[in-house]
Amino acid sequence: MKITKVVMRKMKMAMKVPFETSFGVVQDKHFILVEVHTKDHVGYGDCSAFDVPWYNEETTTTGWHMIQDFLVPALFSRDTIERPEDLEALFSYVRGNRMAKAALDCAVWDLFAKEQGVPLAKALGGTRTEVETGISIGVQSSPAALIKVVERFMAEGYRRVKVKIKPGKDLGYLQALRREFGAIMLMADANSAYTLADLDLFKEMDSLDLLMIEQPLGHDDIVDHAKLQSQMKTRICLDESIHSAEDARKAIELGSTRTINIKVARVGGLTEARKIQALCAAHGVPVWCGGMLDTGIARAHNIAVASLPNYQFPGDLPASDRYWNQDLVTPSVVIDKRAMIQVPDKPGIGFAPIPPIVDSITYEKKEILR
Amino acid sequence: MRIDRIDIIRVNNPFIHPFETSFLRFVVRDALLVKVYSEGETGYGECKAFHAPLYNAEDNGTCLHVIKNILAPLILGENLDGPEDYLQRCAFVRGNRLAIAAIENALWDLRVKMTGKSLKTLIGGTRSEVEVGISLGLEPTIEVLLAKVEQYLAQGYHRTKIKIKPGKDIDIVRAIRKQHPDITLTVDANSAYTLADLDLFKAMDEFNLSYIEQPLGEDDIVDHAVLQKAIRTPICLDESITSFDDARKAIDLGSAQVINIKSSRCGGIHESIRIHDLCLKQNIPVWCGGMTETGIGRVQNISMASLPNFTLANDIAPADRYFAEDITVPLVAITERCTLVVPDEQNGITYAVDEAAIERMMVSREILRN
Repeated sequence: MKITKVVMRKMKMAMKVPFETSFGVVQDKHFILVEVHTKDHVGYGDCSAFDVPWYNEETTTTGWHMIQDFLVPALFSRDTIERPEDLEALFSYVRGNRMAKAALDCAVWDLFAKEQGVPLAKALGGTRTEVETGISIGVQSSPAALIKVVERFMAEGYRRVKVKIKPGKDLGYLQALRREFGAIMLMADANSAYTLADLDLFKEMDSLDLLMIEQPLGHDDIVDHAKLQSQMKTRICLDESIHSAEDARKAIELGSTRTINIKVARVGGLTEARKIQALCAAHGVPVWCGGMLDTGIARAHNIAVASLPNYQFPGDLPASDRYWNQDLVTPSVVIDKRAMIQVPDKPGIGFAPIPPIVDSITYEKKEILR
Repeated sequence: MRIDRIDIIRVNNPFIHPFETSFLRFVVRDALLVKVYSEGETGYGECKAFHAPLYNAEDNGTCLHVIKNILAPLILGENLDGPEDYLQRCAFVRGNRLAIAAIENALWDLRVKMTGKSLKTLIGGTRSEVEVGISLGLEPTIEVLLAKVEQYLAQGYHRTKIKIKPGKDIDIVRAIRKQHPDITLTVDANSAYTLADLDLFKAMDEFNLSYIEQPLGEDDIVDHAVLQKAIRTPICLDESITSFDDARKAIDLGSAQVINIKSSRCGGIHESIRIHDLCLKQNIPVWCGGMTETGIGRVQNISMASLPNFTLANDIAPADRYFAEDITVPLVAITERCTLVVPDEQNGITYAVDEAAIERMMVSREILRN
């Protein structure tokens, strides 16, 4: 593939309803849309970093800087790219900044699939024709308010319910859901809001038979999580602290996690995501696909990767109308009565940006020619 | 202290000996200085990031953005108790510790100005002088390197550290050891190896190195524990210790017997003191690493290294090691004992910032007010 041009856009989409986690409230989702061009095709990627570094160290601005000043020059340092995996070596001199790397990695994977004329899911080795999505619900003001929200989404067909928790808004909220809804697929996401001092709380949660508890301790920790996992029955799922297949190997060795939420953005793209899923499969550790309050392009890559064999739990793959009044891609993503999303069978990601909508939410644009 | 104004000053100071890595040229030290104004006093801090994300995920571009848009707004116009108060306010920020440390260091400097006490006294330092070691990069031939080793030994440097990389490691160590059987010798691998190189490190045991610095992954403490169990030579961790919690876990796992404390890497002096105290309790000696800083960072490093557990020679260079010009008055000079004198109330030494030199080196200045 001879890459001729990269186009970057800073975008901002207002959330339908502000989304609250243990670290703050998101009103507008900022992201960077990246286009990678060859003579015949365009591949799309998304830098999913938020505008504030509260999920990881990256922001929209750091991502823009990394892509523009280091990663695109590295991409252009080679005349042609044979396979998306080639980017790994080209980008290796840049430490961290995985969400920036992921934007180009995903765009080149999309481009590669389009050049081959195959769906991205197939290019990645996916085997499913449909993937299940769960609902992820932000922190609510009271258990009663939470019950109402869950009720509404279950009526839409969602079967797996993930609830964001934070100290003071945890056990009581989860107990209320169990009482109200019985044996649903229920899980909690703590986004690193707790420490080992909260051990007793987590032991108490064992009685709730949760599907998993996501990232209870430090955002870069795999050591304390091993201690916690050894003392509780509920499956720990690591999110923030797994940046690479190496991290995943160490976490599995230490016994820190029994499932991994692979976010394509967090691990630097689809090449690393595949490595992590293969490693986990070899160790009998199921994985699933998380998201970053995704808009249409990031979600498209996630749908493709979630079709891989070891993705065993429903993913955070929001339907078009979950977070947004208007999606920026076509076709829209809809879930059926079983919360299933069809994996596209068109070449590449199978979704196309809608130009007027893309333009209307772009607040900065840059074209970099080879 | 009420924070009235913050200036972010970008300076370029030419290296006496420009150097190149495989990706980038280092012709000037491109550095960000932070000047915090409070109630008629000013305090300086230096951001230790480089002009590319080679050491960790940060570079001057990310730091400029994070200091300006994320950190400064948290304190401008606010009444702060000091560095500790500031750190609490930015606790939600993940990563970005070099950026966090820049303001933190400036707040310590303000505290020095406002209390009239030396930084050494404020943090409980006990040494009047700190020992200096030499750190040598790879040279075209072993002969050239041996000549350099010779030259610095003649000047009395207290420790000789050699940078190694695959293919340029054990032969170099052997050659130096042969000529200098008794010197304090260490190597720094900057994460260039993996556990597949276990035999190499076992073979290095015979050379009686004081420590091997950061042999494995830049964010690893798990594989280092495996390596440390297999070799006699102490491992010293650098990149992978970014906080007190990292140090606690590394010591628990047995990943390190020495820690290189760079206050910038850990988010500042406050966190460095916590790491220092923990290491003191656990019998882990520490020393102060360098980031080719300007005089502002240099002087703060000297004071930090006056803490009791900094028992190994430090990478704190006199002003003329890297630069023809520096930004303190007087310039930091090395004693004939190859030590640096710690400014305190007894010796009456103070280092002022050379504003005229800053003006000469200045590339840009951003003035932030409430």
